Amino acid sequence: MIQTFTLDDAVRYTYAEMSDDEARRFEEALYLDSDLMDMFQKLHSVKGRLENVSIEIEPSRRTVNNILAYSKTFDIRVAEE
Amino acid sequence: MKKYTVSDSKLVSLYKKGHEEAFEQLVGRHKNKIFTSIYMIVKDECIAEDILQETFIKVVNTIKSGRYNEEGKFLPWVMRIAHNLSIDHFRKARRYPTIVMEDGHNVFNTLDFSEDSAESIQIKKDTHTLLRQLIKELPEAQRQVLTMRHYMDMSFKEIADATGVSINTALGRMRYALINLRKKMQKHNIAYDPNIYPR
Repeated sequence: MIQTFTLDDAVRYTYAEMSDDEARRFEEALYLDSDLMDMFQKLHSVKGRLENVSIEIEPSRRTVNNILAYSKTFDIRVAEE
Repeated sequence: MKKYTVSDSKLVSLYKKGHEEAFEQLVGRHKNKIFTSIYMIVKDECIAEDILQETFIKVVNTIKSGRYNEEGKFLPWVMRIAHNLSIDHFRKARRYPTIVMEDGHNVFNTLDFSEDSAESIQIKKDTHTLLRQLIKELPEAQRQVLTMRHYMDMSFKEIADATGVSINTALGRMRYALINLRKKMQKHNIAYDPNIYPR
């Protein structure tokens, strides 16, 4: 019996958030359900475009140094007060 | 997600044994992702820096006092702390947290976009700039889940937990975000890969 998948399952598949077994069953369903295939193709195409653009902001070096310094000087008695 | 030779779990174990350099590695690995997550909520770099420090103070206190739950994953745990502290900031200020990115002061105007592929300069200049704009135009809830999943490597379960919605809601928002983005891309004639095959 072929399992029924939702359009949101296509999101999980696109982002590889299915177990291998579930992904295999999804792929079977994909070729029998044109709506599901259509959705997957749309999601996959946009994901591909977004993968070439990444964003990242860094905290200041001062903040990172403060964090590391706190760890090095950590005193459990003070932390528990 | 990035794969590291030494797992987070191993680094936490080393840190518990007093190896400060293990903590330095953990901070180095995850600081940008956590900082970006905080910044997206508070929209103020100084406040985000403060909350990042508060977050890691809690991390240090918890691990060094032996209260860290070994069963949980390190990054989702820290992200939860950061998210809660960011929300607390708004509670204290009696403001409702929104990830609104207004013109002239929005996260996508200030974030550094970088390429890790060998795409052409032209695509970088034209398409990426336009993509940033199109992402910015998405409804807030959709933009949030798209950013968390795509650029912060959070799973849908982690996003659902962090934003206080069900996993189905997170998945639904992501689906609408991608579909809306695709429509906008088509409208602006942004090409996309036509070679689609299941993995």
